[in-house]
Amino acid sequence: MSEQSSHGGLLAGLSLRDLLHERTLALCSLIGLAAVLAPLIVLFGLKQGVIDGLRAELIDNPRSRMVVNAANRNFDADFLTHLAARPDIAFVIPRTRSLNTEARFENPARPGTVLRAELLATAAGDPLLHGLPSIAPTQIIPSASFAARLDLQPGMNVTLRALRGDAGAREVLNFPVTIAAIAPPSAFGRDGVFVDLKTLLLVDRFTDGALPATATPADIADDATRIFAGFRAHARRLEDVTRIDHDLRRDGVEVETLAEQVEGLLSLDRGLTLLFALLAGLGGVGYLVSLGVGLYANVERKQRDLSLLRLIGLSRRDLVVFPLIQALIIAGAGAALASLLALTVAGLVNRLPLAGANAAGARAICVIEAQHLLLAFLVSILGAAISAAFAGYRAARIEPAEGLRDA
Amino acid sequence: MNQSAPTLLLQDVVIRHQAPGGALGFELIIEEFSITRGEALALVGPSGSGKSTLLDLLALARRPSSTGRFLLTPRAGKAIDLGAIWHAGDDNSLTAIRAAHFGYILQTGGLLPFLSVLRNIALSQAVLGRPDPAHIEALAARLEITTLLDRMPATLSVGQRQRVAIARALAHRPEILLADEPTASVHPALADTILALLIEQAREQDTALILATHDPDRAARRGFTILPIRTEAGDAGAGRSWLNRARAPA
Repeated sequence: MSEQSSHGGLLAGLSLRDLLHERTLALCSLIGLAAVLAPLIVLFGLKQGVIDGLRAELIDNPRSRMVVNAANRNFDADFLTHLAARPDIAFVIPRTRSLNTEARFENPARPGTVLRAELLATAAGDPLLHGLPSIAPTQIIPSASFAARLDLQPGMNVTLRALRGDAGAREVLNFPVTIAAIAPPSAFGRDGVFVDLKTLLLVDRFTDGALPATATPADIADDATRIFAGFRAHARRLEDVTRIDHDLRRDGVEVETLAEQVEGLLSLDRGLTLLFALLAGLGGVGYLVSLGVGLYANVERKQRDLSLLRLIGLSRRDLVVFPLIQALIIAGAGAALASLLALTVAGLVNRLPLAGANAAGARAICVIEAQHLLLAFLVSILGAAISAAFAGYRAARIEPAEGLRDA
Repeated sequence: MNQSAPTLLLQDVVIRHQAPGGALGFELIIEEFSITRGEALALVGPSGSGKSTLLDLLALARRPSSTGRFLLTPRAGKAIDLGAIWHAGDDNSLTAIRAAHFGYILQTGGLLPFLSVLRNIALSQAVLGRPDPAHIEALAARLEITTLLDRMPATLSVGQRQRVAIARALAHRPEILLADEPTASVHPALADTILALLIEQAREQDTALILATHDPDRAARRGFTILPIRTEAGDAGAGRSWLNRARAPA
């Protein structure tokens, strides 16, 4: 009886030959499956392209996760340390009084052109400057608009200039700095320059008259008792903004956040995700049912052949494998055809003249990536295996004598 | 070697079919039946007498309702108690025994439409994992189907299909060859040829041959021993049949 133990190769051959013999029916099954699966892949691609793209653009903007105090107040190191220690806070940097954050810059290549900019403290891991290296006190990162106005380029040496006093007794602090990089447009929309905290404190202390015009950032001592007028914090996730906003207000700290807008966008995102899940779920169930009933009908139709195979000596287990192999072949080929159709449709959709979506460099409306197609393939194979189990259960119950009289 | 023991022995084996509603529809009682290798028996009886049911039972393709003795004694090895295996519900063993020891020819061949003639014939060997192309070649030559080996069953005539079915049933050298009315749908002249080929091949391979037929005269002319199934019609389509080789007329 050990001769009976392994019929894998024989079954694979029989299943394949049966499929080839009924190639028209197999092709119809395959096309039927692809016709159900392809729209699902396109729908998924649209979800990726439109909804997730929207989320990336509107929701995942670091400014949306920003929390800043509304008015100058006194915040000690303890407060800032506790704020930074919150698990839902990704980044905190102190701010000085807004009156003392203005500096002037001159491009040595364009003598005489001096422009004013707001100084913003930054440090390693600043979400606004995501991807840019951290800077030293002698380096700056101008905002995109400011760099454009002053024609600044990375690597350029410029002079940071701060003024104090009135017209009769004006003092100027000149501090040479190097442009480390240009900030992305989303970082700051106005004329601004990101600087190291010590550089910001240098300008602040000088403006207040606490430091001479010859001072440099090296003159700013580390002082744990220093009081700051404000802070800029970033929530770790968009979903954390509302809670942080609520907690700070409860503690008497007036803050400015985009909590309301964020909540609205998150609600829209949840709604659209749920809608997609429903559509995809219904479509997916339909796909599996279609696959399952097709296979089951196939087993019923082939009862005579399966009875013959049982009579000749294939076991019940072998008969379970027979439709399983066919299901895997049909599902695999169906998924491949569906992928091809979906990619074609996605290509056409992305060429449609829709609301500026196809301008150069714009997002694609329908985004189908290799991993999505692989997922569709794996789901199809898994679905086929599950569906084939029902068909196989029916096949296994076929007795050798069941369909012989029709043979 | 088991030279003297019958290849198949059945005593007091019963198979019953329930009629719709649970009433007894049909009952076949095998009081005594035996066959030895080299013998050729022709089961005869009217339609519905249970000839095909008996063949299915002998081929282990239909479950008996009750068994007294049901023994298979192969050429080599000990007798196998098929009744006990049925009772134990050991389907894998029954499948393996069926594959190794039985060949079955159906009324219209019973060929698999998706396999070529050659692959149909080789299937019984492939299931056992014992390919023997030389034996297939010899059978094909003897049955005059060598030129048909690459063709598909749908392209064959009924007579050609029956020859292929005979080849497939014999390809794995079974102990017992069962043929269910293999001449029912062929021309009388072809029927004689098919029966002649069957009995010739069975003798050449030392195989026990059991034929179900409506044509006892033709079978007798070809050398089959006739074994009638006695019948008794019951109420509302119910019926009962008996088989007893020991009491059958010579």
